[in-house]
Amino acid sequence: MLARNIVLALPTRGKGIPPDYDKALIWHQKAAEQGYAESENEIGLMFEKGRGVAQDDIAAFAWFEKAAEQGYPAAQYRLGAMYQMGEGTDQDYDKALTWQHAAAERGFMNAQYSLGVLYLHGDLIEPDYPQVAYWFEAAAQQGDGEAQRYLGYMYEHGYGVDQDSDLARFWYEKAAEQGFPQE
Amino acid sequence: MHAQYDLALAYADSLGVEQSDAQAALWYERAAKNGHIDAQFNLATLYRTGGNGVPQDWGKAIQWFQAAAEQGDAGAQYSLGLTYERQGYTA
Repeated sequence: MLARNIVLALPTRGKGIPPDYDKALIWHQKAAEQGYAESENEIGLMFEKGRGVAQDDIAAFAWFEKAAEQGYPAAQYRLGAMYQMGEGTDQDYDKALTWQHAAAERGFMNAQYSLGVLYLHGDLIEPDYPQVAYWFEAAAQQGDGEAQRYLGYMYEHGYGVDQDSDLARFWYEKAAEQGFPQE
Repeated sequence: MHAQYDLALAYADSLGVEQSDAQAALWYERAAKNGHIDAQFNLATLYRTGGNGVPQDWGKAIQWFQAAAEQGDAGAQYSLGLTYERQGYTA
């Protein structure tokens, strides 16, 4: 049996039918009752942004946690960010690192970038330049412009990597193409 | 209805026939009306994005996601929720 043609492309602005968040929430809850991680994550987002519900970080955290524990990378990333910021939960850098690692190791680009930043200046964490370079490189390879710029800087100055002017120029150019010029 | 669904997939993915979103929609709809969940889901997805000869139609996308969702398909429930969040946007 052939697979479904699942197409869930990111939207761009189109015709003016307003969102119906009440109905969206009803159906996401039904899917969530069946343990569908994507919908758990989506309900988390609705609470985080206050879409169709009162903004509620504690509820958002709880929904992201459900999805994250099922291995859904987007939710692991957001859960890590909430632990990092102390939103909806007590601030906890160890847990922030754990969840960003979980998402980053599954290839989630935003988590790879966040992990680079955490290792760079995570306040309670000693800077670890090889780790910073490793995760910025992972995100840069997937097209993250800011990670490309930072990686260029690390190659330029030899932070966490062997100094390499060619690679520095390469990543600076990649970043500039995406609107992140060398500072 | 499985034969109808398989024929729709053949048109959608050009398996042995010339690719045609319009023909895919036609056969998805026949299977969908017989209650085939994956046909309902794929037809809804086609209407949500629009295809070659199949204009985007949020109303029909919602109708067919809902048909699958009411049969308890969690993926369709998720997609229906997402469609209500994003209707008016074009993919």
